[in-house]
Amino acid sequence: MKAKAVVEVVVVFSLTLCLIALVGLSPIGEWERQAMNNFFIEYAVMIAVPLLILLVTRRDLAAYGLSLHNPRYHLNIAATAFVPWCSASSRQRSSITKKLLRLT
Amino acid sequence: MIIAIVQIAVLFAVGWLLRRKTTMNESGLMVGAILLDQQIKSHSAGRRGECDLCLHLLLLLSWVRRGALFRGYIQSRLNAAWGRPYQFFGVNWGWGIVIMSLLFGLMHFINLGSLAMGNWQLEPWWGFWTIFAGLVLGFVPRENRQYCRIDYFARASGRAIPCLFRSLTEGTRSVFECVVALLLPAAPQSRSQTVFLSEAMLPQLLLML
Repeated sequence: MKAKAVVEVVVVFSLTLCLIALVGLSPIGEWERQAMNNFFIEYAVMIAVPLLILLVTRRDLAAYGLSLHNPRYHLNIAATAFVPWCSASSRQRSSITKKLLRLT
Repeated sequence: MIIAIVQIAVLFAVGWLLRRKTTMNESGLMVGAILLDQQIKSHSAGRRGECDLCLHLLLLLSWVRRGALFRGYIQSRLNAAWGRPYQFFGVNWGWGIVIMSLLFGLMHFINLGSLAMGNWQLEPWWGFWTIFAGLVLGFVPRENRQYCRIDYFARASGRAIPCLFRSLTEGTRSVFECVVALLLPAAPQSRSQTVFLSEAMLPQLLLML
Protein backbone atom coordinates (compact mmCIF):
# COMPACT_ATOMS: atom_id res chain seq x y z
CA MET A 1 0.00 0.00 0.00
CA LYS A 2 2.73 2.44 1.00
CA ALA A 3 5.03 1.48 -1.84
CA LYS A 4 2.14 1.64 -4.27
CA ALA A 5 1.33 5.18 -3.15
CA VAL A 6 4.93 6.31 -3.58
CA VAL A 7 5.21 4.70 -7.01
CA GLU A 8 1.92 6.24 -8.07
CA VAL A 9 2.97 9.68 -6.87
CA VAL A 10 6.37 9.49 -8.55
CA VAL A 11 4.80 8.31 -11.80
CA VAL A 12 2.25 11.13 -11.78
CA PHE A 13 4.93 13.66 -10.89
CA SER A 14 7.25 12.44 -13.66
CA LEU A 15 4.41 12.32 -16.14
CA THR A 16 3.43 15.88 -15.30
CA LEU A 17 6.98 17.15 -15.70
CA CYS A 18 7.40 15.31 -18.99
CA LEU A 19 4.16 16.74 -20.34
CA ILE A 20 5.14 20.23 -19.24
CA ALA A 21 8.51 19.85 -20.95
CA LEU A 22 6.88 18.52 -24.10
CA VAL A 23 4.38 21.35 -24.22
CA GLY A 24 7.06 23.89 -23.46
CA LEU A 25 9.31 22.65 -26.23
CA SER A 26 6.51 22.25 -28.76
CA PRO A 27 5.51 24.94 -31.28
CA ILE A 28 2.45 25.65 -29.13
CA GLY A 29 4.65 26.49 -26.20
CA GLU A 30 6.83 28.68 -28.36
CA TRP A 31 3.79 30.53 -29.70
CA GLU A 32 2.48 30.94 -26.17
CA ARG A 33 5.67 32.56 -24.95
CA GLN A 34 5.85 34.85 -27.94
CA ALA A 35 2.22 35.89 -27.68
CA MET A 36 1.76 36.05 -23.94
CA ASN A 37 5.25 35.82 -22.50
CA ASN A 38 4.04 33.23 -20.03
CA PHE A 39 3.38 29.56 -19.36
CA PHE A 40 -0.39 29.31 -19.24
CA ILE A 41 -0.64 25.98 -21.05
CA GLU A 42 2.10 24.40 -18.94
CA TYR A 43 0.29 25.53 -15.80
CA ALA A 44 -2.96 24.14 -17.13
CA VAL A 45 -1.24 20.79 -17.78
CA MET A 46 0.03 20.78 -14.21
CA ILE A 47 -3.50 21.24 -12.93
CA ALA A 48 -5.10 18.86 -15.39
CA VAL A 49 -2.92 15.80 -14.73
CA PRO A 50 -3.65 15.37 -11.00
CA LEU A 51 -7.28 16.35 -11.53
CA LEU A 52 -7.61 13.77 -14.24
CA ILE A 53 -6.03 11.12 -12.03
CA LEU A 54 -8.45 11.94 -9.23
CA LEU A 55 -11.44 11.86 -11.56
CA VAL A 56 -10.40 8.63 -13.27
CA THR A 57 -9.77 6.87 -9.98
CA ARG A 58 -13.06 8.30 -8.63
CA ARG A 59 -11.58 9.73 -5.48
CA ASP A 60 -13.26 12.22 -3.22
CA LEU A 61 -12.16 15.65 -4.41
CA ALA A 62 -12.83 17.24 -1.04
CA ALA A 63 -10.34 14.88 0.59
CA TYR A 64 -7.78 16.25 -1.83
CA GLY A 65 -8.57 19.84 -1.03
CA LEU A 66 -10.95 20.61 -3.83
CA SER A 67 -13.67 22.12 -1.75
CA LEU A 68 -15.29 25.48 -1.23
CA HIS A 69 -16.68 24.64 2.16
CA ASN A 70 -16.24 26.76 5.28
CA PRO A 71 -14.20 29.65 3.86
CA ARG A 72 -14.37 31.65 7.08
CA TYR A 73 -12.39 29.09 9.01
CA HIS A 74 -9.76 28.79 6.32
CA LEU A 75 -9.46 32.53 6.06
CA ASN A 76 -8.93 32.70 9.78
CA ILE A 77 -6.10 30.17 9.66
CA ALA A 78 -4.60 31.79 6.61
CA ALA A 79 -4.69 35.25 8.08
CA THR A 80 -2.82 33.92 11.08
CA ALA A 81 -0.24 32.16 9.00
CA PHE A 82 0.08 35.12 6.71
CA VAL A 83 2.13 37.24 9.07
CA PRO A 84 5.22 35.02 9.28
CA TRP A 85 4.87 34.00 5.68
CA CYS A 86 4.70 37.55 4.48
CA SER A 87 7.62 38.45 6.71
CA ALA A 88 9.68 35.96 4.81
CA SER A 89 8.28 36.84 1.43
CA SER A 90 10.48 36.54 -1.54
CA ARG A 91 10.82 40.26 -1.96
CA GLN A 92 12.14 40.68 1.52
CA ARG A 93 14.34 37.66 1.17
CA SER A 94 15.82 38.92 -2.03
CA SER A 95 16.50 42.32 -0.55
CA ILE A 96 18.11 40.74 2.50
CA THR A 97 20.18 38.48 0.32
CA LYS A 98 21.28 41.40 -1.82
CA LYS A 99 22.29 43.36 1.23
CA LEU A 100 24.21 40.41 2.60
CA LEU A 101 25.94 39.89 -0.70
CA ARG A 102 26.85 43.55 -0.79
CA LEU A 103 28.28 43.31 2.69
CA THR A 104 30.36 40.31 1.80
CA MET B 1 21.05 28.63 2.56
CA ILE B 2 19.83 31.84 4.19
CA ILE B 3 16.42 31.45 2.60
CA ALA B 4 16.25 27.85 3.76
CA ILE B 5 16.94 28.98 7.32
CA VAL B 6 14.28 31.66 6.98
CA GLN B 7 11.81 29.04 5.78
CA ILE B 8 12.56 26.83 8.76
CA ALA B 9 11.96 29.80 11.02
CA VAL B 10 8.68 30.46 9.23
CA LEU B 11 7.69 26.83 9.74
CA PHE B 12 8.19 27.15 13.49
CA ALA B 13 6.47 30.53 13.58
CA VAL B 14 3.44 29.21 11.69
CA GLY B 15 3.31 26.14 13.91
CA TRP B 16 3.46 28.29 17.02
CA LEU B 17 0.80 30.69 15.77
CA LEU B 18 -1.57 27.93 14.74
CA ARG B 19 -1.08 25.78 17.80
CA ARG B 20 -4.34 26.86 19.41
CA LYS B 21 -6.51 26.85 16.33
CA THR B 22 -9.41 24.47 16.33
CA THR B 23 -9.47 21.37 14.21
CA MET B 24 -11.72 20.93 11.24
CA ASN B 25 -11.98 17.96 9.00
CA GLU B 26 -12.39 19.94 5.84
CA SER B 27 -10.44 21.18 2.90
CA GLY B 28 -10.43 24.57 1.36
CA LEU B 29 -8.06 24.48 -1.55
CA MET B 30 -10.24 26.08 -4.14
CA VAL B 31 -11.48 28.78 -1.85
CA GLY B 32 -7.98 29.93 -1.29
CA ALA B 33 -7.02 29.40 -4.86
CA ILE B 34 -9.69 31.79 -5.97
CA LEU B 35 -8.22 34.40 -3.69
CA LEU B 36 -5.02 34.17 -5.58
CA ASP B 37 -2.12 36.41 -6.04
CA GLN B 38 1.52 36.09 -5.59
CA GLN B 39 3.54 39.05 -4.73
CA ILE B 40 6.66 37.83 -6.39
CA LYS B 41 4.99 37.15 -9.66
CA SER B 42 2.91 40.24 -9.35
CA HIS B 43 5.99 42.37 -9.26
CA SER B 44 8.05 40.42 -11.71
CA ALA B 45 5.19 40.12 -14.16
CA GLY B 46 4.45 43.79 -13.71
CA ARG B 47 7.96 44.57 -14.71
CA ARG B 48 7.47 42.56 -17.85
CA GLY B 49 4.56 44.79 -18.66
CA GLU B 50 1.53 42.58 -18.58
CA CYS B 51 -2.05 43.58 -18.19
CA ASP B 52 -3.77 42.97 -14.88
CA LEU B 53 -6.27 40.45 -16.18
CA CYS B 54 -3.55 38.34 -17.77
CA LEU B 55 -1.61 38.67 -14.56
CA HIS B 56 -4.50 37.44 -12.46
CA LEU B 57 -5.04 34.52 -14.78
CA LEU B 58 -1.38 33.70 -14.49
CA LEU B 59 -1.50 33.92 -10.72
CA LEU B 60 -4.61 31.79 -10.51
CA LEU B 61 -3.06 29.09 -12.64
CA SER B 62 0.19 29.44 -10.80
CA TRP B 63 -1.42 28.81 -7.44
CA VAL B 64 -3.88 26.19 -8.42
CA ARG B 65 -1.27 24.16 -10.24
CA ARG B 66 1.05 23.87 -7.27
CA GLY B 67 -1.82 23.19 -4.95
CA ALA B 68 -3.47 20.66 -7.18
CA LEU B 69 -0.31 18.67 -7.78
CA PHE B 70 1.75 18.98 -4.63
CA ARG B 71 -0.49 19.80 -1.69
CA GLY B 72 -3.58 18.40 -3.34
CA TYR B 73 -2.65 15.16 -4.98
CA ILE B 74 0.82 14.13 -3.81
CA GLN B 75 0.60 15.00 -0.15
CA SER B 76 -2.95 13.76 0.25
CA ARG B 77 -2.20 10.48 -1.47
CA LEU B 78 0.91 9.83 0.59
CA ASN B 79 -0.75 10.82 3.83
CA ALA B 80 -3.57 8.43 3.13
CA ALA B 81 -1.11 5.59 2.65
CA TRP B 82 1.58 6.44 5.20
CA GLY B 83 -0.51 8.10 7.86
CA ARG B 84 0.63 10.95 10.08
CA PRO B 85 2.12 9.47 13.20
CA TYR B 86 4.31 12.39 14.26
CA GLN B 87 3.43 15.69 15.82
CA PHE B 88 4.68 19.24 15.36
CA PHE B 89 3.14 21.88 17.61
CA GLY B 90 0.29 19.50 18.23
CA VAL B 91 -0.29 18.96 14.54
CA ASN B 92 -0.03 15.51 13.04
CA TRP B 93 2.32 15.00 10.14
CA GLY B 94 3.82 12.08 8.26
CA TRP B 95 6.17 11.18 5.47
CA GLY B 96 3.78 12.59 2.92
CA ILE B 97 4.83 16.15 3.61
CA VAL B 98 8.52 15.22 3.47
CA ILE B 99 8.27 13.43 0.15
CA MET B 100 6.06 16.17 -1.25
CA SER B 101 8.62 18.78 -0.22
CA LEU B 102 11.44 16.81 -1.81
CA LEU B 103 9.52 16.56 -5.06
CA PHE B 104 8.66 20.25 -4.81
CA GLY B 105 12.36 21.02 -4.49
CA LEU B 106 13.19 18.63 -7.30
CA MET B 107 10.80 20.41 -9.62
CA HIS B 108 12.47 23.73 -8.91
CA PHE B 109 15.89 22.14 -9.24
CA ILE B 110 15.02 20.85 -12.70
CA ASN B 111 13.83 24.35 -13.63
CA LEU B 112 11.55 23.50 -16.51
CA GLY B 113 10.96 27.17 -17.23
CA SER B 114 14.51 27.60 -18.44
CA LEU B 115 14.21 24.42 -20.49
CA ALA B 116 11.20 25.83 -22.28
CA MET B 117 13.03 29.09 -22.85
CA GLY B 118 15.83 27.21 -24.56
CA ASN B 119 18.60 27.78 -22.02
CA TRP B 120 18.25 24.93 -19.58
CA GLN B 121 19.99 25.52 -16.30
CA LEU B 122 19.67 23.40 -13.20
CA GLU B 123 19.03 25.43 -10.07
CA PRO B 124 20.44 23.53 -7.08
CA TRP B 125 20.00 26.33 -4.55
CA TRP B 126 16.49 27.10 -5.69
CA GLY B 127 15.72 23.43 -5.38
CA PHE B 128 17.28 23.33 -1.93
CA TRP B 129 15.39 26.15 -0.29
CA THR B 130 12.09 25.28 -1.91
CA ILE B 131 12.24 21.96 -0.05
CA PHE B 132 11.79 23.96 3.14
CA ALA B 133 9.20 26.21 1.55
CA GLY B 134 7.36 23.03 0.64
CA LEU B 135 7.44 21.97 4.28
CA VAL B 136 5.84 25.26 5.31
CA LEU B 137 3.20 25.11 2.62
CA GLY B 138 2.52 21.47 3.31
CA PHE B 139 2.31 22.00 7.03
CA VAL B 140 -0.13 24.88 6.96
CA PRO B 141 -2.73 23.24 4.81
CA ARG B 142 -2.69 19.61 5.40
CA GLU B 143 -1.10 19.03 8.71
CA ASN B 144 -3.08 21.64 10.50
CA ARG B 145 -4.96 19.23 12.70
CA GLN B 146 -6.84 17.03 10.34
CA TYR B 147 -7.50 17.77 6.75
CA CYS B 148 -7.76 21.49 6.59
CA ARG B 149 -6.29 22.80 3.44
CA ILE B 150 -5.40 26.38 3.81
CA ASP B 151 -2.04 26.83 2.23
CA TYR B 152 -3.68 28.86 -0.43
CA PHE B 153 -5.16 31.14 2.09
CA ALA B 154 -1.92 31.29 3.95
CA ARG B 155 -0.07 32.38 0.93
CA ALA B 156 -2.81 33.91 -1.11
CA SER B 157 -4.99 35.82 1.28
CA GLY B 158 -2.38 38.32 2.23
CA ARG B 159 -1.59 38.87 -1.37
CA ALA B 160 -5.11 38.66 -2.68
CA ILE B 161 -6.51 41.46 -0.59
CA PRO B 162 -4.20 44.16 -1.93
CA CYS B 163 -4.46 42.57 -5.33
CA LEU B 164 -8.23 42.74 -5.29
CA PHE B 165 -8.04 46.25 -3.95
CA ARG B 166 -5.74 47.17 -6.79
CA SER B 167 -8.03 45.43 -9.24
CA LEU B 168 -10.94 47.55 -8.09
CA THR B 169 -9.02 50.73 -8.55
CA GLU B 170 -7.46 49.70 -11.80
CA GLY B 171 -10.30 47.59 -13.10
CA THR B 172 -11.24 49.75 -16.01
CA ARG B 173 -7.71 50.14 -17.13
CA SER B 174 -7.12 46.42 -16.74
CA VAL B 175 -9.87 45.48 -19.14
CA PHE B 176 -8.63 48.01 -21.62
CA GLU B 177 -5.06 46.82 -21.26
CA CYS B 178 -6.07 43.24 -21.68
CA VAL B 179 -7.99 43.96 -24.84
CA VAL B 180 -5.01 45.83 -26.21
CA ALA B 181 -2.70 43.03 -25.14
CA LEU B 182 -4.80 40.44 -26.89
CA LEU B 183 -5.04 42.51 -30.03
CA LEU B 184 -1.42 43.57 -29.99
CA PRO B 185 0.51 40.97 -28.03
CA ALA B 186 3.86 42.45 -28.87
CA ALA B 187 2.97 45.99 -27.85
CA PRO B 188 4.52 47.02 -24.56
CA GLN B 189 1.94 47.68 -21.86
CA SER B 190 2.56 50.07 -19.06
CA ARG B 191 1.65 48.97 -15.58
CA SER B 192 2.15 50.93 -12.43
CA GLN B 193 4.45 49.40 -9.87
CA THR B 194 2.76 48.98 -6.54
CA VAL B 195 4.57 49.73 -3.38
CA PHE B 196 5.51 46.66 -1.44
CA LEU B 197 4.86 48.20 1.93
CA SER B 198 1.25 49.03 1.15
CA GLU B 199 0.68 45.53 -0.13
CA ALA B 200 2.17 44.00 2.93
CA MET B 201 0.58 46.31 5.44
CA LEU B 202 -3.01 46.35 4.22
CA PRO B 203 -3.81 42.73 5.06
CA GLN B 204 -2.09 43.06 8.39
CA LEU B 205 -4.22 46.08 9.20
CA LEU B 206 -7.29 44.11 8.21
CA LEU B 207 -6.07 41.28 10.36
CA MET B 208 -5.72 43.61 13.31
CA LEU B 209 -9.24 44.90 12.74
